[in-house]
Amino acid sequence: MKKMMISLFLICVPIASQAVELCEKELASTYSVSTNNSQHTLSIYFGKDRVLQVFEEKKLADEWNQIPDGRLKLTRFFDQEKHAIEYQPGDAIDGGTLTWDQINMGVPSTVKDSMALVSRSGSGCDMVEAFQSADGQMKFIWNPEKKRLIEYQTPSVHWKLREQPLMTSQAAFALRDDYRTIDYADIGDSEDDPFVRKMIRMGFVSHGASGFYDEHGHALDGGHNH
Amino acid sequence: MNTLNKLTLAMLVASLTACGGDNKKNNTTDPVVDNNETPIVDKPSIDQQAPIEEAGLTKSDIAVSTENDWYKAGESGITAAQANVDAIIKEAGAAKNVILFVGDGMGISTITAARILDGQNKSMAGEENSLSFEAFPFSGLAKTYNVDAQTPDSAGTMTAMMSGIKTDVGVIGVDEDIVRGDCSTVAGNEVITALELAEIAGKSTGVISTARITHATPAATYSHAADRNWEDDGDMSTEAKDAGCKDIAAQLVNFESELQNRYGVSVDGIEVVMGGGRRSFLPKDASFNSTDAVSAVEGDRTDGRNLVEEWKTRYSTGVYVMDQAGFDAVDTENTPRLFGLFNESHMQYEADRGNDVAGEPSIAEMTEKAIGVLDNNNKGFFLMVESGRIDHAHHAGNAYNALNDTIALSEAIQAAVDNTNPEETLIIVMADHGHVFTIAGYPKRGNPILGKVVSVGATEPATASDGMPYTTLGYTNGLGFRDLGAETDADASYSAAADAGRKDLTSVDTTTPGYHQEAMIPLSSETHSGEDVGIFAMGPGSHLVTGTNEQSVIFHVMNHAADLVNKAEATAN
Repeated sequence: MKKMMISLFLICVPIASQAVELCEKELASTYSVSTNNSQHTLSIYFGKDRVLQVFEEKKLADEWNQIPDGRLKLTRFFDQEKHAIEYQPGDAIDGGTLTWDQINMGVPSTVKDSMALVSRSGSGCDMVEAFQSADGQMKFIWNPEKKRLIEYQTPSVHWKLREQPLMTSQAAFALRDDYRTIDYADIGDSEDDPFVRKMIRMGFVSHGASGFYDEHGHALDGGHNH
Repeated sequence: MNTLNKLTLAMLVASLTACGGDNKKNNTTDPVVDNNETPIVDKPSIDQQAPIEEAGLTKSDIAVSTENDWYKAGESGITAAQANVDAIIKEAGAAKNVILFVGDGMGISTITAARILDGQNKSMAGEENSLSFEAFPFSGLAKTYNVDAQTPDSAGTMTAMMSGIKTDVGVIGVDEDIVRGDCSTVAGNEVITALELAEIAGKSTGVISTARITHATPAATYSHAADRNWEDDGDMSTEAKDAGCKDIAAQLVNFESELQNRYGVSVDGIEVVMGGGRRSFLPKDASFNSTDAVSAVEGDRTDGRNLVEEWKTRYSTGVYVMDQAGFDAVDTENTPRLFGLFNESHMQYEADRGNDVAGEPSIAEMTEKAIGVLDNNNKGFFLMVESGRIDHAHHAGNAYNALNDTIALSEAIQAAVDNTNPEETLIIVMADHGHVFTIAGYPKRGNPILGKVVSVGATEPATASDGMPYTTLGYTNGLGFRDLGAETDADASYSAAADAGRKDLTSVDTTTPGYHQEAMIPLSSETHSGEDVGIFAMGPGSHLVTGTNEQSVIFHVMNHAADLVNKAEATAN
């Protein structure tokens, strides 16, 4: 009996691993994000231990890494200038409010906790769940297996997954691979760099209203003014 | 002098004169006698006695002064200073070892504030405290400007200190004939450094930094580059690479052959290298990531070279370490060579060290370990130790980390003093430049240096004309106010735009690690200052550190003490 169970286990483990692998494949996502007074595009790309969020209109991209102790590390790419600035792990960018879950999906999955499950369709990697608030004003639709947001709506913002991402994850990472990168700690010693001089004049740009939202649908901007 | 002060002084002089007159007649121990007898005194020298005599005074007349503890401490200080002058070994070449400590950005106000914080950490009022190097017998000032800049950067200043030649801002180990960023102007303009001379002279050599080991200050000890940013080949233009210029990391690993080729001498390479900056030594390929990499791809090299492996191959008996455990395991007596790269980029702020993924040593631990390896050479050693992150904390407008890293440097200097023979080791401590960091207001004695100004006799913070409290420490420019609470990484402040000007600090705890002081002029990074910096020295030749000097004089002090040029010439020939 034991032998049979072990054999079954040995057979099942590769199958299970393969299923997880399949669910995580080709997970580049591009969203149309509308607020009351703006419309923009956010793409999320995935690599090994890294997530890249591209804010198309702002020509900004944030790469996040989660290091072994759980802290988040950010590298911000400035696409127009082909420069990047690298933060140290744990730097309190965006007020330290972001979670890995939120970085992966754009909207934290916890927003659904205050809503009710209204439908479930498909199965396995194609499963789709829809949640809705009691007053019907908020809805959250996602693929729980791929942890992929499909649609999110509140009275002030609407996220909608486009059918096709703007590019593959591989291309999105490769595009920014050769940008000149400096540490944030080195900015003070880099005033000879025209990019840094511009940053010093303009101040640093954060996500503002284009990126992340809390569980109430409020834009997270870390309290920054730009 | 105002009228009241003048009147007070006049009364004091008159009163002392009158008293002196009385005592002159009545005091039998008065050194001033009319009968040509030898005066009976407490053996003060004639020189010391004369002014008092001439003023018609005895010691008892001014006992309020002479019995005062401050007075006595000063008197003892003078005696000690005289003894120091008498005892110092002045001969050229008397220093077997030279250690240069550089506090990057550690201006005078930083030293003062760190001294007070260190004292207050030890439950003292603080102001009376001394950092380890403030007890050194000789000190002076250095003018920090670069050849082309009133306010300097670390590249130009460290080149001056290491080579005796002032140069332009932003260039490493080359003279002012260089054109920054132009590789073709490097050849023929390389200057020889104290470390290179020590190496040629047969001494052991070492470089330590809490910044990236390819950063400007450590780089100026061993490399020559038209741009401080050429830390790895990925930082260089195609033109520069095609023209044959080498990046700074490659120059470090190839130091031995580079020096041999340049001067036709035989050397054995740098024995100790420790710091951050692993990224410049590894290929830009995730498969080369270290176990504590914090980036998806740790390395920055685009030429595919793994310089860590090249170093290991070249120095097969050497030890490479990248974390605290590896560092702790190094047996200095049986380690001929040590290469430590503890972080992908800069090492952590001292207060943030606990957050390092794999753990990394303190600057004091690195200093002690380095001396343990270097002092195995009978011909002595040259060691440069940089506390590189004082500068970064100031740039971020965060006094807490700047001061704590200064205190950590002070502990490293004490470790050097404790582990070397003062009769054969010249130790120099100085900054490359200062910062626009001020200690201001009229706080009472012992007021927390990171706190708000509380006036003498008061218990509540003083308020400015705008009705709001203000801190003792502040910056002329920079990011300005941040209240990040317990955040120990000063660089976290860069996540938002500059927020200069006055803030209501009434309910803000300004003593927390994450508090960033107010700044007047909004800039996204606080700047260096153009003021002079302090120089502190002990050991053979340290008497030459005096007065106000060009920063390039430091090289000559080290050269005199260790006779580097002559010994290098003798060895080379």
